[in-house]
Amino acid sequence: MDIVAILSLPLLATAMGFALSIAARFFAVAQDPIVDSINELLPNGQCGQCGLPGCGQAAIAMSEGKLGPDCCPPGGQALAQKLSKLLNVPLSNDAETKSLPQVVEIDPERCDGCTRCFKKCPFDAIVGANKQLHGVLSDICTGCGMCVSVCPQDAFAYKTDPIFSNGWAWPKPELH
Amino acid sequence: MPTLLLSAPHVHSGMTVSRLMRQVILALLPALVFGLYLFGEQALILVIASLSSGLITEWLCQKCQDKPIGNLMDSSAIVTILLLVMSLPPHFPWYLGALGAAIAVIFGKQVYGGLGQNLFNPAMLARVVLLISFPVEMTDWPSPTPVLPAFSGLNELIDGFTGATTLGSVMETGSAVIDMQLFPLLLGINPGSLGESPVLLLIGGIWMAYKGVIDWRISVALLVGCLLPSTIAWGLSPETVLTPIAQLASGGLLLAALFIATDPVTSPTTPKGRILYGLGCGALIFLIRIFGAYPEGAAFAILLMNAVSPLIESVTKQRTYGESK
Amino acid sequence: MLFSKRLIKGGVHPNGQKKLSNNNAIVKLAPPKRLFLSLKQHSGAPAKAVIQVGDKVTAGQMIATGQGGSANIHAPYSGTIESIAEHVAAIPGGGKQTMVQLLCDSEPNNNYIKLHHHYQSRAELIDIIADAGIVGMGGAIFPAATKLRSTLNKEIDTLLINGCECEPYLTCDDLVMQEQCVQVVGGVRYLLEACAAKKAIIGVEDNKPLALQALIDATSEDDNIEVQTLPTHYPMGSAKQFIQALCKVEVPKGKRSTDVGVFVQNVATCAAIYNALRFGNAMTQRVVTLSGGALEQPMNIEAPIGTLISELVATCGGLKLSAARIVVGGPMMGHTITNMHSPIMKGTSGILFLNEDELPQTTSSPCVSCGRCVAACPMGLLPNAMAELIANDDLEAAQKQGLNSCLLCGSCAFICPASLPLTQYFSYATTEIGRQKKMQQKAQLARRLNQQRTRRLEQEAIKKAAEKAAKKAARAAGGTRPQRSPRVPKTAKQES
Repeated sequence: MDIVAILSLPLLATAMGFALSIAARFFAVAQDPIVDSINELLPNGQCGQCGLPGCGQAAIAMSEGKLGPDCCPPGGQALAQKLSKLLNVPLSNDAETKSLPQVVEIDPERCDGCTRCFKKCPFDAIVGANKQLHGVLSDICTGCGMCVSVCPQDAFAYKTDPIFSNGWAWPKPELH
Repeated sequence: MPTLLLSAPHVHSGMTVSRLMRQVILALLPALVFGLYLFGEQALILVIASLSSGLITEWLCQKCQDKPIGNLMDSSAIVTILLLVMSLPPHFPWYLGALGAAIAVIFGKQVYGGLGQNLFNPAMLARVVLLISFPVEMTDWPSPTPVLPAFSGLNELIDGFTGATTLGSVMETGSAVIDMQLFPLLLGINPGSLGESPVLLLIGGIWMAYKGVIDWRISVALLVGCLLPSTIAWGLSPETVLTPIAQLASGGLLLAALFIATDPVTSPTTPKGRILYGLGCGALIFLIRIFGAYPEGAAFAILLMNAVSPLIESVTKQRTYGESK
Repeated sequence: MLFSKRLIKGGVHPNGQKKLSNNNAIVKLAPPKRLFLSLKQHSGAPAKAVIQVGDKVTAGQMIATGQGGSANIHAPYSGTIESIAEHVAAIPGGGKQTMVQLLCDSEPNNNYIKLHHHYQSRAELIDIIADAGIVGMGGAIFPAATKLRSTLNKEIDTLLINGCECEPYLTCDDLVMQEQCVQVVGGVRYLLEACAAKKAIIGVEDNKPLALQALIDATSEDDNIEVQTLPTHYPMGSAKQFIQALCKVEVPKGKRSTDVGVFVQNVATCAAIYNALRFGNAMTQRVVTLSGGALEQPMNIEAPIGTLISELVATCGGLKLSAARIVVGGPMMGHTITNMHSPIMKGTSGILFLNEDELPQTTSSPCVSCGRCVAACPMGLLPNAMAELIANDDLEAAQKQGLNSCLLCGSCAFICPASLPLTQYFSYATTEIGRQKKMQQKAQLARRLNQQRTRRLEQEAIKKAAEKAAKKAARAAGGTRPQRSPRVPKTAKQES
């Protein structure tokens, strides 16, 4: 009698385990095209700040879990939150990811109008002409830094996005 | 010059959780003190042992989690332990009472993450654990034996009772025809839990409702939920069902309605949800009393309703201003 | 309380603290030396300055014109424009705004520039209100004329005049109703004409008996103006709750009060409208409550717009204790400032200097889900659930719970026994959502521009290739020119 009681539970568990594994195989849902939905969200600047050459590769890497949802600086916190929801990966609370979005500005003293930056800008956020002082449209600039890397005069500097420096938002309350 | 940029509001009502808990304790005291008067030093030892065990457990848990010890003094643990003790038989062994208090604190509250996080009422959880683990001790109901000289006429009243609760004897004999006098019944001078004096509980409860400490909706709904079907059942079969007054005054009904079901943590927050929750508790108490294997079912009823409390809350969401009715 | 029918849902009963400042008559401030007139004193786009630095201006002269539905700004006194520059403002966050700095003449010139204030039609009447630069003084600082123009093609049944002043400490509306009830009632009559309403109801909370009596006396001959007493109950003065209490209707979500045939205006605004239409005076003054436990002599001051807060404090005899918080507006919905060198604006109803004892404790304990916040929410929301979602950074879910309906009235945080910063969470979330929306729009713009650029580059490449092919084909067909060497010498390429 005791034997039956002792054996019945493991047997039941084993049987159920098998049933579950079979069900997992037969009723498996095909992987949904998450890469496409990630690609939809990315700014597609191909800036390479995530460490990969293009946004398409980044989307694949993210879907495979190799890149975190906060890997895209141009997308900022808003994109990170959307991706974290899509990928079901929590956002880390590092100070770095919480840092405010940046845009670039051009030092008029240094810029010599070489046009390298505005040819490179993936968002057409830099305007200028040959041998003319260039300017950055800060309401487009994502701070991707493509221009910074090609500027021979080192004329670029980062500053906080005006959306954050001009518009006031209350800070999140902290519990004591 | 102030240097902080702060958003509104900049004033507060002054109400704190500790103050709420202290008011609950104050409301419990009359019934507790009367219980101690009736049941003597053994009951006092039980209360002291349970309180010290519960508070030490709470302190250890807070310390292990690196939480501020100050929370110990928010009195919520004291309320939990007092409610547990008041629902126990008065001469329950003190070491088991201490164990129950520790269970209430650890498994009722702290394992969920502390105050405000628990799904089930800690006092009732501990009571059910004790009831299942120590059925003999949990159903040993002594007659009241006042420690101090009894006031006139009390001794004669006490002599009229033997060792079974009103609800228990109905369950055992199947007969509800019991010779009862109204006065001892309402004062709770009969075998029963430590804190069962209906009048004194009612005074505390009404004071709490007046002060806004508890929501009257839960209490009223619970009493209606239990007494309405009870009255109908009594009308149908007065031989086997106690009178509504006796139903109200016996067992843990009032303690449950006023102090236990009104526990804010484990009850819904919406006004409609509270009515539904109270009705559910009351109906379950009635069902367990009439059809269940136990004579009294307040603890089980409340635990069961605790489990569905989040569901009740989500289905009774109130209408937002400006949304179509 | 138990037996009287509740006019509004939820709400709380904070300590009114009205006695601090409502015993004395309104004090008229002597003309200050300098005024700082912000170009953004109303909701909407900033006004555009129409004067230059160095210009002499007369009292009542327009110095900035409203653009795109915003309000004009006038000089309260004659003087010289010293500068048009950034100056610290009494706004949330303590940021700076562009302000016109006016050095007032030491001997004030009494020649006021009066507005043209004759009208023949409703539209012209509203134009005068627009010229006078009048904004709603109850807190929303919405230009009054813009709001009135929206009634031109709508049927307005009732004009509601809000004299609740449900915020604790504030008594400026109370005093205006007591001392300037003729102007208030006169303004109501003009407003009835402006929005073509059938009747007007002035609603006043019952903690202002003197104001109620003054209004009842002043309206004794008006058949279509009714004065109604309302129970003292926060937030009775919030427009939505005020409408609910007096008209028994709710403004549907996403609609305005004018959509349900109701037009709401504040009592002080009515007085300003009267002064504009009767005398041609622009809105250059307002009554401000200065109160709080840290202030030597709390009082109401009628001061020109642009007066520095520090000067008002000096009029009140300074501070008797150090102020733990300086609040602009009421204590339930106002915000703190850290710089007394900021000026008052058209919408500044009060400045409170609160001492340590008046403030809430800053430490909070865990939520015990007591449901007091749910009971107190006048909008029928679940503050505890929303705050928890926001604490976990799920702003989207909080919006689904109804965050957008939140008035930020402060009732939930006021009543919370755990002292949880509920309203503070909602303030954070609403401003943060606005910011995120802007960032999202920016990201979308960047994405679109990038797609356009990619397409353009592709087309350019195709065009180039086609041109190249055409040239090649031409060369192949002609064959007259000698074939160029396929290899260009390296040196030549570098030189080019």
